[in-house]
Amino acid sequence: MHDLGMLTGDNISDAAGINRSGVIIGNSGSFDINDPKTMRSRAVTWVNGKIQALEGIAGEMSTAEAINSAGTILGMRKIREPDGFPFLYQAGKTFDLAKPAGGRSYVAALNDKGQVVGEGDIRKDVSHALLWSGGKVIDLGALPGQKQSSASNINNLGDIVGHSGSEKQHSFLWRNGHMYDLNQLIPRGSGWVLEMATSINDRGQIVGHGTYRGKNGAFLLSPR
Amino acid sequence: MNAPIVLVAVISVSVILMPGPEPPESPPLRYSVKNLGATSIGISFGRDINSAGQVVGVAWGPSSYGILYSNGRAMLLRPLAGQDASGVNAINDSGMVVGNSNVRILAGLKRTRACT
Repeated sequence: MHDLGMLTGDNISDAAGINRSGVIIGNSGSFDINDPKTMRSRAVTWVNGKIQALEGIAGEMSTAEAINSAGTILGMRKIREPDGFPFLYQAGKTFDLAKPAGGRSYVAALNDKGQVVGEGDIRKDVSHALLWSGGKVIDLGALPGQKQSSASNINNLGDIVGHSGSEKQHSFLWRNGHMYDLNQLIPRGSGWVLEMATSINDRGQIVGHGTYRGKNGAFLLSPR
Repeated sequence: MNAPIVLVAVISVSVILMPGPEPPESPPLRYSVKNLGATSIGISFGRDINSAGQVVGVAWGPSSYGILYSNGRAMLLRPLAGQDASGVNAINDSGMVVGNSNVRILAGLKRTRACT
C-alpha cells in the first residue's frame, strides 16, 4: 500500500476511483475535530503519483467520485449547500449535470459513454435512482411497493445496479428500462437476501452485500 | 370445390412466415450467487468489481480493512505503518486498487489518507 499524500496544508484525503490509464481521482481537504465548520474538501487527481486540484473549481467545497477510461471525471461541487451540483470535468472544463425536479442529487458512477448514475429528489422528500444520459436526467423508479431507490454503478452496456427500499432494502438491476429485483434472479432457497448491489462489470457480474442465512456478507453474482 | 380450402391453407402459411413484432425484451439472465466469505475480521461488504472479476470490499470488525478477492482468495489490504484501518473504493481492469488508510480520531470519525 502506497501513500498518495494530499494537497499542501491539508490533513485528510481519499482516493475514490482509478481508470485504465492509472489516473486516480478523489479528494483532499482539512478537518478539525474541534471546529468541524472549517472543514474543506477539493476534488483532486493523481497522475503518475503527482496530486493536483481540479482547475476551475478550486476553492469551492468539492469531491471527485469517479473517472472513466476517457479521463472524464465525475464529481460534486458546492457540497456544503443542501443541494450540491453534480458535474462532469473534461479537458479542464466543468459541465454541470441537470438537476432533478426536487433539487438535491448525488452522483456515484459513470461509464465510458459518459452516462452517470446516482440518486436524487424527484420531488420533495422522494429520492430515486437517477440516470443522466444525453443531457437529460431520467428517473429509474423504485421496486414495487418501495418509495426510495439509489443507483451505485453503471457498466458500458448501460446496465445499472443499486438498491431500493428504506428499511428493508433489495438490490436491483436496471436494464432496458426495467428495474428487476436481483433476489428474483437467483436460485430459490439460496439463503441470501441481496440488499445492496454496489458494482457491475461488462460481463454482467455484480458485487454487493446482504445477508446469507441471517448473517451479513458480501456476494458475487455471475450470469448463468 | 376444393379451391377455397387451399386458399385458406396458403394464407395461414404466409402468416406464420411473416416476421412478427419484436419479442418483448427478455428478462435478464439468471444469476448464480457466490458467498465471498466471512473473514477473520468480521462482516464483509462488496464494493467494486473489474472486468477480470476481481472484487474489492471492506471487512468490518473491531477495526476495518480493505479486502481484495482474486482467484477465489481473499487478501487483506493492510493500512500504512502506524495506522489502524484501511478502506477501498475502486479497482481498475489492471487490478490496481485505490482507497484509504486511516486513524480513528474519535469513535465513528476517521482521518483518512488516500492510498493505492
